[in-house]
Amino acid sequence: MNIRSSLLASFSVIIVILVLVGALLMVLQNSIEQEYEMIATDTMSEYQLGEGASQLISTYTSLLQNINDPSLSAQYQNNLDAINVAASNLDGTTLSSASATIYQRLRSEIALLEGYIAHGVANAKQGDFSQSANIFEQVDNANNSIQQDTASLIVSDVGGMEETQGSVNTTEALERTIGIMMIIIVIGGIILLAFLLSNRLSRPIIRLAGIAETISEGGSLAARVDEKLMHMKNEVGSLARSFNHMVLDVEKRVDDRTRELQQERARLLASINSLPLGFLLLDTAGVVLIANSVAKENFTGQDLTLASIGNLFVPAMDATAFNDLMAKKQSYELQEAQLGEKSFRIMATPVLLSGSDEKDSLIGSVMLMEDITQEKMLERSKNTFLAIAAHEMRTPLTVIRGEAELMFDEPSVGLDTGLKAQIGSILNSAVRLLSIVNDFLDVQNLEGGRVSLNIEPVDAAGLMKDVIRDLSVLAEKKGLTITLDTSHDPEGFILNVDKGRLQQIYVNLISNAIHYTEHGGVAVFLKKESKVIKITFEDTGIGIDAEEQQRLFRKFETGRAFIQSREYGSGLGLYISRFLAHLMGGDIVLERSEPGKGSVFCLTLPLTGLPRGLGLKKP
Amino acid sequence: MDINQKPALILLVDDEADILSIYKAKLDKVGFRVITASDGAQAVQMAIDQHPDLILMDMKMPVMDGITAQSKLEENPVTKDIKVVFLTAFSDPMNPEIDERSAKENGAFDFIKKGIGLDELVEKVRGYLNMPNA
Repeated sequence: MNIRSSLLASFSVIIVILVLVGALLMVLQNSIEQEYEMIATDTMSEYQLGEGASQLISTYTSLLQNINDPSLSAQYQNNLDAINVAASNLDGTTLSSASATIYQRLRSEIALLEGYIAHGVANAKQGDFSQSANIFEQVDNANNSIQQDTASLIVSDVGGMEETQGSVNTTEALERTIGIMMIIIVIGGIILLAFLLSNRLSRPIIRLAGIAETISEGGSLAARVDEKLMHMKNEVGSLARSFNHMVLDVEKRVDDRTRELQQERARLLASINSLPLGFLLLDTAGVVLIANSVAKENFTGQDLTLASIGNLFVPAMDATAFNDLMAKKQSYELQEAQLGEKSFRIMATPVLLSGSDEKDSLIGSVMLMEDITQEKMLERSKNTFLAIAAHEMRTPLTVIRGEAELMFDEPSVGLDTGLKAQIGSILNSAVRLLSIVNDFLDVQNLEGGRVSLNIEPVDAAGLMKDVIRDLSVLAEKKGLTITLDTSHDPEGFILNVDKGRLQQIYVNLISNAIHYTEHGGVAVFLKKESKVIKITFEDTGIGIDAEEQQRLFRKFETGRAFIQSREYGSGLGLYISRFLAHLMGGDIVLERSEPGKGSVFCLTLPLTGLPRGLGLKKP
Repeated sequence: MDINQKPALILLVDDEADILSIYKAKLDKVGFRVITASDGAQAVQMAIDQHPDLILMDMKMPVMDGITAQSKLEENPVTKDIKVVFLTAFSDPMNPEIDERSAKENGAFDFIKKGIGLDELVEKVRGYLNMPNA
């Protein structure tokens, strides 16, 4: 039995007791009131009895003096009747033993009085008044006794009445108290009932709310409304059932979505793991969130953070530069870095999340590591092979060239024209081969930083004149002209450059122009432009189309058309020339070119000489 | 060239006999006196003994390489004024440290790339000896 039921039971018992007590009190009060009424009636009758006796005497007295007066006789009879009525009124009442004794005596005294008066009246009617004084004395005595007895009865009755009145007052006070108590208890009961009722209604709802809260705060969907609530027949029960149904449904949906997400994630991870690249997802603090198997293989036993893995590479990754680039939403690339025995190319791109405000926010970066060990080994062995081959060819070629030159020049041998031409052909081929070999070795040395520049003041125009003079023989053979315009150079530009290397550039650009021109010629202009000297080489040759222009300065590239049309050069000339121009602080660009109309190359070199720090490049 | 003056003496040093013979033939033909050596040690000895006007020397040779020989010549007061010009390929993948810079740093007067034309060689030699070109 719970508290609620005990409370209800006690409350009911108290109410019942109070009602019973109240009823008893009312019955009691009623009887007391009846008793009071009775006593009051008795008192009235006793008073009337006394009064009647007095009147009877006075009527008797009057009647004695005028015995024949009929009105007096009637009055006498009335008084007599009144006494008898009053006396009979007292007959039915329950009297105390004392009162009953007095009453008995009173009855006999009244009978005596009536007898005396009747005797006196009868004597008076006969005209005999001899006994009147005696009778009157007896009547008076009887009357006195009556008066005494009624008075004592009245006194006794009044006492009873007062007593009864006190009981009535007490009972009424009790009744009031009980009434107030009942009112209080009823109000309390109503409040209690209301509380119990509201509790009975609200408690399930509070429980429901608690479960809802558990779910929303705890994240677990396992919480359920209990059976008791579910089976409630009212709206709360229906709400509880709907709630459970909803939670079940939500749980199922969450399970489904979770499974889908897990599958999706597993698929993504599998894809990332199957990449032949190292894959790392980093957050903005540089902590690795996801690393695929290739990446993990290479960083066993390492903290996976940008700082710790970046330092494993040779050269190390510059974390600051990396973060700066990511912050600028740009890509990072490290062309080649060693990690133990392996070579990697490292690429990283910022990971951006599209925000609602159409601004992308940086949430991290993706870093890819491409294992280029094989590639690099291949490249190295290719370079080594070519270098060895070129190196080994140079001495025999030098010998061939030297011997051919000696034979070609020797008048004493007495060569016939045919043989001399053949020796000339050997000589030309040897020279061409040597120039290709030299170009290749030049590139090796330039790229390896094994070239030093012999910087000295050089007269740009003067050197150009020498080169043009040397190459004019070649031009004339093709019927071409080479012109030099130095009208924009009245004082003669002096450059701080390596003379031999500048000459190499001049020769390369002019001989290219001659080579690719059939009609017209080559025009060279020297012009000062702010802090640079600009040397323009303009030809009327076959020109270079847009696609070929893209590849022009690359290693081993000549325009494809040129390769197809004739044999010429190593394809390294422009690459070397530009490399040298860069070393001397200048540049070479193709200013414009149009197929069929010609090309304009432009060499710029700084007038102030070689910028500090360039030229001597440590390997 | 002064008739009474003896032609300039040139010491050619190379371990490649063919190269020696071609350069000697050309230089002989244009009137120089040419002596040859096939390694650095030999070259140093010949330089002390015969005091040539110019030494054209290969950099990489057996017994003693060109750079060592050049330092020895530099140390010796008898030979320290002799101009040394290196003949080099600057291209040996097995010896990448031998390059233009190392040659210059070792006090070579100049270097000539192997493979140049014989006329160009003569021209350069005349230049080193402060002789006008023919």
